[in-house]
Amino acid sequence: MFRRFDLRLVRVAPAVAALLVFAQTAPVPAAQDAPLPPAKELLAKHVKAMGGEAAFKTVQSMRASGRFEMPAQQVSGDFVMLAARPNKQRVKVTVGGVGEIESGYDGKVGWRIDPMQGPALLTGKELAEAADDAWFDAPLYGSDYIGTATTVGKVTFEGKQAYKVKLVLKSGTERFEYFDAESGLQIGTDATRATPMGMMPVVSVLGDYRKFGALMMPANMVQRLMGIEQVVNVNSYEYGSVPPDAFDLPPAIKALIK
Amino acid sequence: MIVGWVLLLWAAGLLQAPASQASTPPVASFDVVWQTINDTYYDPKFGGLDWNAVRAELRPKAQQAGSADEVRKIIREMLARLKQSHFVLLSPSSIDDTLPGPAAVAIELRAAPPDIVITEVEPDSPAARAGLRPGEILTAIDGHSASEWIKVEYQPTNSRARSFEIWRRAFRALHGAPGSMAVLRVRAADGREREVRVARSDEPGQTVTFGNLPPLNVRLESQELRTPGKRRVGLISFNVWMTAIDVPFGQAIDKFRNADGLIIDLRGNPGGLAGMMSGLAGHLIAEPKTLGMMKTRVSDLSFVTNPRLSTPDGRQVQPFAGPVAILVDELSASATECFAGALQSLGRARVFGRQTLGQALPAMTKRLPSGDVLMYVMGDFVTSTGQRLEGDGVIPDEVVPLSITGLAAGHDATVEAALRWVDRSPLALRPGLLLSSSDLHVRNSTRVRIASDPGTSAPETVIRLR
Repeated sequence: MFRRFDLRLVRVAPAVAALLVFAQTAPVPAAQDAPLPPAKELLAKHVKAMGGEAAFKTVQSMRASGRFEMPAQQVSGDFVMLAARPNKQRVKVTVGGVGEIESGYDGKVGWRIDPMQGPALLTGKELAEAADDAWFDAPLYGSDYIGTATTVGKVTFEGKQAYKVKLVLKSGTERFEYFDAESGLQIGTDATRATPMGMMPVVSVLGDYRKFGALMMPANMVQRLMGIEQVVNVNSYEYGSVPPDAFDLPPAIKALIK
Repeated sequence: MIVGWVLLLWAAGLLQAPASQASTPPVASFDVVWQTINDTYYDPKFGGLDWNAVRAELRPKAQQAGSADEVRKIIREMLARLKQSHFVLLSPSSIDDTLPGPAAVAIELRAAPPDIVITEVEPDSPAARAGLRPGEILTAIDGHSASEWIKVEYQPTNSRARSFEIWRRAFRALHGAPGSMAVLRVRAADGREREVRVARSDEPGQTVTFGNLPPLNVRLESQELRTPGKRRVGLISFNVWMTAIDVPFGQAIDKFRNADGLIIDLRGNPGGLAGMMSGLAGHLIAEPKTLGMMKTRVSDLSFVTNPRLSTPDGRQVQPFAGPVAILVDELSASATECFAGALQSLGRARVFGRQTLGQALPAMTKRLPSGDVLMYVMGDFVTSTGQRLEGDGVIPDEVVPLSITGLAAGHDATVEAALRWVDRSPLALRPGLLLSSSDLHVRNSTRVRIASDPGTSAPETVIRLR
């Protein structure tokens, strides 16, 4: 769910071609002087560092808000992300000079509205990824979400020693996640995402973990794709305050459902 | 949407430049420019140019440069080596490239060497009140003779590039501070010359500021026209591809959804946000269709139409199904070329006017350490049929030369050509369609029932589709 917010931005926020930044951030294999810990252990360590499964399970819905920026392009705006159990989410980014860019998944229908392309229902791989993103318990890496998880190496990611884990979700989606060797917290993702224009490689970096309520949450997310860097700074995470009708489909989307 | 914010906009060098700010070593900007292009230019072979050698040659010069302006000149020289559009350094010090003020004499110009012609006068503007008229030849502005602009020192690659350069100089001279007076000398069709004093006025439209780009005034206009055969046609024109046009474009489509034809006037439109092509084309095509590909260093990305099947208030609608004409000219560029070329390739639109500028490379902007802004190419665009638009641009299906005498007589030959074509086009059948007897060429296999309608007088007959 909320950790997947960074990936979700791929759908709602713009960006472009990459290599410059990919070249700079490509994980470097670290000297491996010890056997790699099993992925299950790494995932459990992350859950514990985040605040534990019990604490997370008490949260029924979440509202994250903050600022979105593309520093080099001087593009910025506000964002709000709403999520609720078991698999609902809605993200809105309001960008100066562009307007509101929204996407959502209500447990069944995945959609997107932006002032460049108009309203659209998600289909195929995009829809499957939206469903993955919306799975509220995703950060717990449960068997209802994860198919397989394999530790594939110890690397230097963004200057930190990290374990690289290959995840294959129940949906079939594959991606790599990076876990801080010291804190255990997830610090990044490396995935190829479906977009309206085709598949696109995306690197996400999570940082500035802080305690919001009972949970340690990333307050800073950097996403790099196609040579462009997008930064999200979260000001607040609120729990349990999202009304159920927040996930209702907008009229322009309802009209697309036949 | 992902690559929507890629720019397909050529005129950045003629916009007001951003304020310069930082005081870092000027060579730092040189390095960022070189590195950015090195890492993102779509062609890793740089079209045969030795990009490392370019740095080896020019960086020492940038290091030894005595001022930031000298470094800018070196950066521009580096960009020019690539011989591609959309490599622009936006800087407030670029006196020749930026506009002297936000206001302008409210006229449209086109270069038709040896003349510079007024093609349009903004209604109700100071220019209109001063008596300026389409078809008049501009011979001087504020004492600067048009012949100065027509003497282009360098050798542009083609006549369109030359015309563009002439136009750019004249366009710049029209600008100044709001309310400032411009003194124009114009020659009418009868050969008489006169001097006209005109106040420069603010550009109409919604001012939009997006990222590194200077403020843009965005406007969309629509009106209903009739063909010579009395068919109803919607005319929509807009000046730049920014999201501010999305809603009014949709409203105009709604108004003309049942019209017999649609004309989209993109003459002089320099482009804008690339992602808008998919959304606007979705008003004209009912199925997802690939408009073209953006080939980047990393991957090939598709611009696919998003059929617009609903309105913001939740109504189900169908995209416009009738004949579509797109009007272009030598100042239509970038996203406009990609849109027109894509719909032409798909057979969805017929293009009228004059060959476009041929500057059609997707680009992004980046703020440099100096505070200047770099616009840099990050992809190449080809239509669904593989046609590359950089260089050649879009060649209209019906070429309509610029007619000075026609303009002077009050004619818009390009619009008139499009209207005549709509008259010749098959009508898109729909409930409530009104046909004149001359439209009735019903084949035996066409199942339509013609019913008499007492409320309709001849020569029209209502055809009720079943």
